[in-house]
Amino acid sequence: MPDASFDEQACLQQIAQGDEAAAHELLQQFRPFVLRLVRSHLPRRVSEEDLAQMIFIKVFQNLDKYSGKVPLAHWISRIAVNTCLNELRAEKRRPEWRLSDFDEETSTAIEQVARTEADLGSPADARLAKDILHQLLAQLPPEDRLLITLLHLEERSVQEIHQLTGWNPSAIKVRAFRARAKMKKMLNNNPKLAPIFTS
Amino acid sequence: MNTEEFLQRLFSFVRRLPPEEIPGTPYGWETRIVAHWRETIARRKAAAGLLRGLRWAALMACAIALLAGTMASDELAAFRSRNDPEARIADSALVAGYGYE
Repeated sequence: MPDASFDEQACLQQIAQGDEAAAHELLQQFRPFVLRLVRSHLPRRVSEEDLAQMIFIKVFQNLDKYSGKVPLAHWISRIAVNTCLNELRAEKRRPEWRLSDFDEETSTAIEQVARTEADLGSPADARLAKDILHQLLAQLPPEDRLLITLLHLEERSVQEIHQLTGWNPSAIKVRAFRARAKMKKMLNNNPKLAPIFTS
Repeated sequence: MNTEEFLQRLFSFVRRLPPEEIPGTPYGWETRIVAHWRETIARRKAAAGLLRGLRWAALMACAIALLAGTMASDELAAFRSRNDPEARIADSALVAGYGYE
């Protein structure tokens, strides 16, 4: 989020008058915010700077349409989420998860995370959990991936997700339920993991 | 442990990870965006200028048509009065005088 000292309205007015310094100021203030959004919604990070650039180009192109009814950060985050979603849709979805996709290393990691008490997890366990989660999320359609990230990792409310994506609140709940069911199925369908999840 | 509990544990672990550091701005990154923005403004201004020109041309064309109509009003009135009874009598007198019949 931008600094507390950042005067949003003044900056926007200056930009409307064509002030380049104000445009640079806006970019500096919102770049970390947009990059964090991009990182959490784009698993393949090869082009996070390019994607952030694409988002800011859209922001500047549509800045005259910004009415000021919602905070600027909210408006920018909606553009960012939609741009990420379009990029995720463009990514080819991997074929169905196969048994061989869970290699020995991942299976061991899953075992370790399952054994560790939630309160006692070390940073290493958290990194393992992140890798496993990314593997699971990579198998989901972009919308499901985005939804799980927003709902369970960023802990946003259904209403917030509705505002960000424009999706219907009840559709969000149904989609989230189905996305979690798909993830559970991926775990359940692996015979190597059967002892963990049946015990 | 069931898979639901496992997923909740995964989410909880990942949420606890500190946010990753944001790298410094790459060279020319801001300049590219600002240049693109300036280009968009210039393109919009050119389009707006063209539209304004077209609007003026349309207004001028209307004004000229109106002026020409006003100037030709006498001729139009004369043309319209050809079918008046007086004009018809005069016409027939002329025609008779020249011996066309």
